[in-house]
Amino acid sequence: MRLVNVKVGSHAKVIEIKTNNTILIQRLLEFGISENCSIKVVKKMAFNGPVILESWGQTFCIRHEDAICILVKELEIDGDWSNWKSEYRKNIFI
Amino acid sequence: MEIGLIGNPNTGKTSLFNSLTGSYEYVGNWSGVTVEKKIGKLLSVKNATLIDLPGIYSTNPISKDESISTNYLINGTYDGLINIVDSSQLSRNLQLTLSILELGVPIMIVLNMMDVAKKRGINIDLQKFEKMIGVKIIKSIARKDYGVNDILNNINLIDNSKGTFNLYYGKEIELSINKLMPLLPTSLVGHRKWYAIQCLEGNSIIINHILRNCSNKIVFYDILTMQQKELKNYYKTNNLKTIFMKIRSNHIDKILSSCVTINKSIYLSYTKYIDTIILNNYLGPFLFLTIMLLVFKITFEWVGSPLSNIIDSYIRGDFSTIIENLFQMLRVEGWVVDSVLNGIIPGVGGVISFVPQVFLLFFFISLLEDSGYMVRIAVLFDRLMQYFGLNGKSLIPMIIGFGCNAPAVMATRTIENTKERLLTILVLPFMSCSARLTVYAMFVSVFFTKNQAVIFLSLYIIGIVLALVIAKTFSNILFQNENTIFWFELPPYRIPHVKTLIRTTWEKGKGFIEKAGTTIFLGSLLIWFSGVYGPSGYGVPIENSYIALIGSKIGDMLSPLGFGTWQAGVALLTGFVAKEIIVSTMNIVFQTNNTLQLSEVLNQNFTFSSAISFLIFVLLYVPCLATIATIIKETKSLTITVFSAIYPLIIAYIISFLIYQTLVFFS
Repeated sequence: MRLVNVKVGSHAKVIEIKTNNTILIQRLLEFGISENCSIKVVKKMAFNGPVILESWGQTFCIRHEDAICILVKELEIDGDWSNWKSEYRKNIFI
Repeated sequence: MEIGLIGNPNTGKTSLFNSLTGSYEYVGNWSGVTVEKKIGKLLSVKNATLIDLPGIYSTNPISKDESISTNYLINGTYDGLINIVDSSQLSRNLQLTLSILELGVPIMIVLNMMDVAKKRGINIDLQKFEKMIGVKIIKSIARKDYGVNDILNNINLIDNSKGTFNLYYGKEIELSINKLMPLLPTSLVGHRKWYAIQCLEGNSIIINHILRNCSNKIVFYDILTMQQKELKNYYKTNNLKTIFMKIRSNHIDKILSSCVTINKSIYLSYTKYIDTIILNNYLGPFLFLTIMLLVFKITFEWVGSPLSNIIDSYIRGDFSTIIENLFQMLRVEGWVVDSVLNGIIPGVGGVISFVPQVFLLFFFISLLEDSGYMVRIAVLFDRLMQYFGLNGKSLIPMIIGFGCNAPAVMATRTIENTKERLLTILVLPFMSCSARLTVYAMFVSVFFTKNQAVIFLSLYIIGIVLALVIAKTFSNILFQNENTIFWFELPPYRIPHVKTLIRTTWEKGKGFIEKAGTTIFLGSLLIWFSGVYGPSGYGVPIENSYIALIGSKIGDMLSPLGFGTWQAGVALLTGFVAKEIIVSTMNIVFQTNNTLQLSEVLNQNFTFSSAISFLIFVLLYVPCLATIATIIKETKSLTITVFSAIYPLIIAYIISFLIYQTLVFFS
C-alpha cells in the first residue's frame, strides 16, 4: 500500500520509494527514511495537503504526491508487534 | 586561527555562536534560519575567528544555503571545525558527523541540547563515545550558555584532535575508492578517501571541485562513471547514496548501542497536543488569522498608535520648541535653522514616531519565529501555496518580509527548487514591510478613524493575495512541469526566552532607527534643499522650487490614479530609496508643524478614494534600493532584477487606477 493510505496514528514499514525525484530521495535518506524503516503517520492535512510523519524520533512533513511514491506495509499491533515494538522503541528516542 | 561551526539545521549553532563570540546573530526555531556565513571573534581566545555556517543534513547540498557549508569544508581556510550535534536526535545528526570525520580535518564535537535529551531519558556515556569516535566531545546547552566555557577552554585542543576515523564500506566500495584516490589532485583539503566517497555518492559540488583541479579530467570522469555503474549493478540500485548512508547508519547503530541508554519508555511531548489544535484542518487557518488580527490590533490600535502619537506630539511640539529656543539662544539664524526646523525635524521625526509600531511588529514576528509556530504556518498553507506555484516554505520569507524585504529575499535560499525560489523572490516586494507601515499609519490615522487594525490587516492581505495571483500567472507562463518538493522538519515548540526575544526585536528594529539617522536624515536635508531652491535662487516658495518642478512632471502621470499632485509625485520618487522617506517627504513638502495640521493637509490633497489608491500604489510599486541590491546578489541576473523592479510599477499603476476609478464611479 501507499503511505498516503496509511491511517493517521498507524505505523508502517517502508517497502520501496518509487520516485525519480532525487531531491526527495536524498531528503528522505538524510532523515533516515529508506527501505525497512518504520514510519508513523501523524497527520494528513486537508485537500491533499502535506502528510506529517514521525520516524527516528523526529517529526517532518512531505507533500501528498510524494507520500504516494512511498510504498509501505502497515504494521499491525497483533501481527508484527514484537519486532516492530523493539525497532520503534529504539528509533523513537534517538 | 579560524574555526568553522557546522552541523544539522536547527541544532543551536547560531545560539552557540552568539555565546562563544558575544555577538548577536539572528536565531529562530526552524531549520534554515542561517543562510549565509557569519563571522565573529571568539571570546577569551586571542586572534581566533569563529564562522557560523548554514545547517546541512549531509555534505551533498540541495539548496543554495547548504552549498555554502560544503564549499567551506573544501575551500575553507579553517584550522578546525566544531560539529554541533543535537543530543536528542543522535541517529540523524551522526550521519553528518561521520562524514565530516572521514574528511579528517581537526574537529571537536559539541553535544548540544543536553536538556532536551535528558527530558527524553537519553543518557550518553561521554567517555565511551569519545573513544569510539576518536575526537574530543563536549556537552552543552547553548540557549542557557551551559558548556560554553568548556568549549572555550578546549578550543586549542581542536588542533590535536585530527580524526583518525576510517569507516570500512565493504570490499566492492573500497575497491572503487582505491581506484579513484590516485586520480585525485594533491591539493585537496583533508583525506582523499572522503573525496572519493563523495564522488561515488554523486556529490556534484565535490565532483566539480575535483574536475576543476584535476590534471586529467577525462580519465577521472570516465573511471568515476564506470565505478558508479559497477557499484549500482552490484548493489542493484539506482541510488548509491542509499548504500553509503545505510553503511553509516549501521555504524551509528553500533556506536549508539554501546554509548547510549534510554531510561524512560514513554516520552510525552506537549508539542503533539499543541499541534492537534494548531494543525487542525479547520481550526488551524482560523487560529492563524485570529493571531494575526490580534498582532495587528496590539501593534496598530491598542498599544502602538497611542505610543506613536505621544512621540509625534513631543517631537513636533516640545522638542521643536527646545531646538528653536536653543537656536535663538545661540543666535543662529538663516538656512541652518530653516533646514533643521523645516527639514530634519519633520523628516526624521515623522519616521521616528513610528518606532513603537515597528518594534511591536518585530517583537511579534520574533515570537512566531522562536516558538516554532512559523514552520506550522508553512505546513498549514503549503497546499494553497502549491496551487499558486509556490512552496509552503515561501511563507517564511513572506512573513520575514513584513519586517524588511531585503533579508526576506535572502531567506528564500532554503527553498530547494529554483523555480519556486525565483517566484518567491519576484513576489516578495508585495509584502508590506515596516517602512511601508509608516505610510499606512499616516494615512490610516487620517482617513480611517475606526477599525484601524482591520484596515492594516487588509493591506497586508491584499499584498499576499496579489503576490499569489502573480505567482500563479508567472508559474503558468514561465515555468511548467518542474519537480518540486516540500519537506520540512517540525521542531518541538518552545517557550521563547525573554532575553532572546528582546535581542532579536532590537536587532531587527535597530536598522529602522539607523536608517532614520542616515538615509532619512540625508534624504530630509536633500528634500528641504530642493524645496527652498528653485530656478530663481534660494528662498523661493516651495511651489516654485526644483522639487515642485520634478514632482509636477510625475504628478501629471499620476492624475488618473487620483493623486496627481506634485507632493505625491515627489514622495513616491524619493520612496524608491527607502519607503520611509515617503513620510519624511510629505512632512517636509506639506510644511506641517503638528499632526492636526498634517491631517488637514492630507484631507485637502487626498480624497477617501485617492487615499486608498495611494496606499495600494505604495504597497505595490517598485521595491526599495536595498531590496533591489539583494535581488541582484541572490539571482545574479540583471534581467531578473530589472524585471522585478519594473513589473510591480506597472501592476501598481493598473490596480490603483482600477481601484480609484471604481471608487469614484460608485461614489
